[in-house]
Amino acid sequence: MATRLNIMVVDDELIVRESLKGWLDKFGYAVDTAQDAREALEKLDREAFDLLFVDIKMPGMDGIELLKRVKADQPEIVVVMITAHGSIESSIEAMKAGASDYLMKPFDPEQLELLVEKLVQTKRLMDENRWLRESFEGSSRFQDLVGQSESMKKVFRLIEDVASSDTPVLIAGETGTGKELVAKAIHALSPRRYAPFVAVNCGALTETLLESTLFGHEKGAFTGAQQLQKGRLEMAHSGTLFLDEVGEISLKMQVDLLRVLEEKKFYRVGNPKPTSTDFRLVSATHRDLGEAVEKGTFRRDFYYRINVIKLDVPPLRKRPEDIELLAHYFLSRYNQELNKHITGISSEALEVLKSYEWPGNVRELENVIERAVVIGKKRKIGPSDLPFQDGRLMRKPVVAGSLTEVEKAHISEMLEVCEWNISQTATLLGINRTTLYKKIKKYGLKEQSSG
Amino acid sequence: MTSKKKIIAVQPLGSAREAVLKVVSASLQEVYQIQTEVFPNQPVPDEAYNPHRGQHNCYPILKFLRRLKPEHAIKTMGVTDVDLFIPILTYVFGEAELGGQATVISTWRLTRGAGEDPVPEEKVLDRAGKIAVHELAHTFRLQHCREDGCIMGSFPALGTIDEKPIEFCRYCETFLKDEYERLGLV
Repeated sequence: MATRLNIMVVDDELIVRESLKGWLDKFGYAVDTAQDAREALEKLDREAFDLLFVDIKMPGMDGIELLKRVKADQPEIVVVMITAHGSIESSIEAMKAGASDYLMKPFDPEQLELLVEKLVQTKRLMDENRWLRESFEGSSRFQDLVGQSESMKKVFRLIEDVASSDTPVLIAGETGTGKELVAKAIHALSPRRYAPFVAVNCGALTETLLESTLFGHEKGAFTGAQQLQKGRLEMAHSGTLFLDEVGEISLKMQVDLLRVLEEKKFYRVGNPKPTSTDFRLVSATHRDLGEAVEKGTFRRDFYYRINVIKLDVPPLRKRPEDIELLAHYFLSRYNQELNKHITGISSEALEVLKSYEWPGNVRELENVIERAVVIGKKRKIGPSDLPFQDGRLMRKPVVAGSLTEVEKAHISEMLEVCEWNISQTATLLGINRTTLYKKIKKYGLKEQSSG
Repeated sequence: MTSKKKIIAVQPLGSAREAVLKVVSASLQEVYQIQTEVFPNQPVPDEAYNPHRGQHNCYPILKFLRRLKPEHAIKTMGVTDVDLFIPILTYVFGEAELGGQATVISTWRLTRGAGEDPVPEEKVLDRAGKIAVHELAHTFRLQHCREDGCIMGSFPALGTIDEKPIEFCRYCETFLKDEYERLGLV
């Protein structure tokens, strides 16, 4: 049987549509028809096609304009122009605009069959190329890091180089660049990979809480310490301790940690006896710690201790060639997580993504794609699915008010974004459906009628 | 009361020759294992003629054949000697709708071949039998097939018809059997 091709015949003449469809049906192709460009574009938005036969002269949008739009949005689709009013000029124009071939009505059966055979071969080659490209894209992933830019390849090589040793690594990079993923990759490739990877966000904790979190405490060491609590330094034994936002640690805590790194032992709060520990330290910061040392806000000796090997993760704007790859990676991930079937990102949407500066880096791109997958109704993510306007991210004004008011406004907005799909909204909000129902009831939220 | 035995109707249109009708009828009966019956000649419907092209459009002919089809006929095979076309193609040897009731073939182009004009009568008859078997198979939902030595291979040129044996590959045979079962013929 013939290779399965999805074909659409676009012609304003019913007899041509039916006749060509009937002929193609006998080859086992899946054939659909459209009577004008508008109907064709609607179908192209919803379904995937491999080959279009497009009449050049049609009322409304003509075949050349349709061809241009198809080629701009889905360049992989093979388009063959057909005409009964064929002029050399329009055929040349069509070929320049990306048509693969053109046919004059009525077609010679031998010529038509040879052409379709040639297109089947072209499609097969394109599929093979896509498979190879996807295989290559697979190789551009390193652990959970994605990138094919030279700067990211350098990061991957450095991770491999440092993973086998116990040398402390300082990962520097802007917020959202994936510093924790780099740390996890180092751990995953190290001899310590079967022991725990313990992460502590030093910027999120007060000094007292950070001390207790890192060192642990004995029962009754301070008010509220009702039982013995192991610290992260102890939990990371044999594994990797990842100190995120290490630049936020107080000078006093830096002294304590430096001692731990030098002596490989520490004291639980409230316990005079030392506890031994053996971990590999990986730290991360978005600050310029060298400058902080010069200003005296960061200890030089601690800085030297944690910064034996420095690994810079480039911001997304410095590696724009990774944007498309990352966008497709997140699209694939959120398609799976949200059980959606969005097949791609339109070229216009990709242009929007590539022209944005991404101050929030990969994390911001991930959020934008997740949102687009949630709200996307078409086969491909289009510019209207992206929260941009004139190259800027549209942000709603911050709701002034109590926490309750902010929560109510946020849930209401997410419900609107998801068109009141409870499962999707709950996923987006990171809560379960029951909790969402309770909150809808609590805040008296109601779906606005779209009719 | 007994119902009439199911047949394939062979319907001559215009001046289809007796020898062609005999070969077509015999070929269909042998390959499909269904009895054929040749009906009295009918004129090619006027509305099928396209004066601009000087050819006959298959679609009005198929419509005419569907109307003529006797109740006890499973399918109707029209046989003519006029030049046939479908709107998108410059010519066809025959035409059928996938899963349809009627099909038509013509000997017009079978007597003419690039560099082999005139072809011997024997070859014309051989081609007519093969095209009839091929087109009728479309009415039994069989599509074009890429297997070597299958009559369901596509043959836009006369040369390719001559190379084909008048038999189905094992896949097409299976599909035909499935369709017979679906139609309650076995």
